[in-house]
Amino acid sequence: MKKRFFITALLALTLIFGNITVFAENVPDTDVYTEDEYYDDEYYDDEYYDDEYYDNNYYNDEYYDSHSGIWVEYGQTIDDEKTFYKNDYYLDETVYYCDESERFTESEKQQIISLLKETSKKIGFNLAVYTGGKSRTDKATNNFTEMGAKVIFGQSPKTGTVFFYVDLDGYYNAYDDMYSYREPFLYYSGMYGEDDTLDSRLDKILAQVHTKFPPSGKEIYFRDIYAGLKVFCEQLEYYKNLGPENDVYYYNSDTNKYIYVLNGQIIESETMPRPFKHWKGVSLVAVAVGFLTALIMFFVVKSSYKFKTPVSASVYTSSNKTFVNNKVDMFLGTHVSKVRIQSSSSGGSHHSGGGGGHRGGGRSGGGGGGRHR
Amino acid sequence: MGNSAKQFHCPNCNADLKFSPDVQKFTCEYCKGEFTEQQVNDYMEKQQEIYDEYYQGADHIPPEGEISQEELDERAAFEEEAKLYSCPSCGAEIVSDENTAASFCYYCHNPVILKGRVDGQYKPSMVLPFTLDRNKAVDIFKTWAKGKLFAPKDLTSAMQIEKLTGLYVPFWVANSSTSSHVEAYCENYRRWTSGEYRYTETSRYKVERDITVNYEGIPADGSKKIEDALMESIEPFDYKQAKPFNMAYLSGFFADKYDVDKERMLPRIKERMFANNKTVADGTIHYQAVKSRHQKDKINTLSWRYMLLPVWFMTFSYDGKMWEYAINGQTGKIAGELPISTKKLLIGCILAGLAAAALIFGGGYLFR
Repeated sequence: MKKRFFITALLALTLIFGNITVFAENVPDTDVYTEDEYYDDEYYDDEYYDDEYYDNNYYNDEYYDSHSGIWVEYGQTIDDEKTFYKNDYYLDETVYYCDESERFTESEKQQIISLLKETSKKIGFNLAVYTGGKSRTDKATNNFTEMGAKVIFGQSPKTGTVFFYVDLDGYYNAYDDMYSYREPFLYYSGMYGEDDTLDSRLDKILAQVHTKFPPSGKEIYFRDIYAGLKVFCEQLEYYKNLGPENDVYYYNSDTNKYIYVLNGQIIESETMPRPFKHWKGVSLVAVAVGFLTALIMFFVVKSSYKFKTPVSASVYTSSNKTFVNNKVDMFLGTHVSKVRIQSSSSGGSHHSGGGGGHRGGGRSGGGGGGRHR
Repeated sequence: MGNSAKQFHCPNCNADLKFSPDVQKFTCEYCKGEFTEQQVNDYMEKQQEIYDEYYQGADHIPPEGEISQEELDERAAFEEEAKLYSCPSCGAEIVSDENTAASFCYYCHNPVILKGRVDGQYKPSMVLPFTLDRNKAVDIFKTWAKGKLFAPKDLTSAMQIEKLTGLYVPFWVANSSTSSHVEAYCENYRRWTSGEYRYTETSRYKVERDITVNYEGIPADGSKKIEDALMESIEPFDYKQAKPFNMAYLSGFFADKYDVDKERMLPRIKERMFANNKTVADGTIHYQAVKSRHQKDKINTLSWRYMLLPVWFMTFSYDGKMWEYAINGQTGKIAGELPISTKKLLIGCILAGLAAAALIFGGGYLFR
């Protein structure tokens, strides 16, 4: 009897805790998401979601996104200038916010706008956030954010703009993108050394934000998005206070002017700044040169410490003991060859240097980058 | 008497004499007397006469005919390989290797000459006495090693310097007349430009040269244990100062007998002479390019002299390897390979590398 009671109790407990566990899984996870969680998803497939691959290989082609249930046209900038003003949006002199996803209430939007206003004031740059609700490819998103940064506050704003696109379409493989236009580029550059993809400030900002945003495909709650945006604003503030990066410059193709940092001051000039020494590159060169110097020194020392040069037999003879008995120089013949002279104009190569603020994807005039959640 | 040891004594006090390179005379360390070669020889002859007179008939020494062939063979074998000698001063047994001709007694430190090693076929025709004394050789070595930052510290230590040894090295010295016949195809060029073309005129020549070069006194050391390149690096020696061989010059120095005969020296000598013949022949060919070249060499005459040449010698054991140094005992020319202290070199390389890296960083900062 006792035995039966214990078994029943155990089953009951298992069921209760089992239900609790099931219930807990349905509760929106507002905790910090780890990197693994974003990618630990049975639907995530690197190959399938390699937008860049599709962008490059199926340009002007369409594919059917089984998750979103829509046909997506690759390579096409599916959003134009008017998109920014089609939806319900907020715009003042320094802040822009648009909720294309239509997930948030008015009061929630107001919270975001207040946050942006406060931050814009602190950092002194225009700030735009776009919570996208439409399914876009990575490239389309890149184009969209670039256009937004330039269009919303005008082509040559006094301060410059930071545009942040938050992908809230609800599908897998969400892609958030940030673009800095003009001066903000020096603070939130997507470049690092000569490789503009690794460990940049932009990467760090997005990585921090993604610890708050929900992973792709999960339920989207305002509190998570707001928490992420708050982190985003904090990061902007942090890097603004840290100062501009020394090893980048920004070239405005519209005004043909360069903006860069020299001795802590932001300089705007029509001339190209002196070659920037990206410290990562400088470090590598220094290490390489140091190693090479050490190696050369090693071999020089090794060879210079050998003082064994056998004396030539010439010291045991002299001119009066040397006789040239026979000397014949027979002319055999002459022939002439000719070669056409290569035109100098056909030689050489033209190198058009890309400046800072240019990315592989062709986002000229600023810099930015995205990150998958 | 091949295994007898010989010493030269002072005519004043009968102490042992040593040859002094500084004054080119035999000196006595006890009474400070200085003697010429003739004086020493005269004294030694007198001493031998007294010795012979005193010991005449003391012991029966059987004439050669009374000794059995077996005993003679044993004696010859012993003479050939004997490595034990009795010191004439203290009677101690001196052990030497089979090529040592002059050494020092390990007990009384008096110089001894192992007579059998410089007699008969091993008797050199000439000896070039040391003109560089030990102190000067030490100075030369110290000066040479001083500026070498990465050499181990011990290289110039007092203990190491003690190892510097005056050694008479056996040399085969060749006099030879050589001939070389050279055939070559050569080219001269003339270039000009006309219109859109660049022209090259090539003139071809067949060149022949017959040369005769006479060499006097090319040395090659006849000791297996001494590195050839090391000895060739401290050449040349001035043979004008060479003397007819006299064992007295060995007194106070070490000396070796040859263990490589002159026939085996020939390839080395030929290589050196014909390499120089090539240089001589090429010096008479004045063309912009030599396309093919062929040289035939021959030796017309060849004669050898066996000489003992003075070398200050030192070995240094470092990092499991033996490093050898040689100083020409006449001219002071030094040769050898210096060991490199890995620790010092590593520090030096790291510092140089850091300095170079700092320069790059500095440049990067200034021109950013």
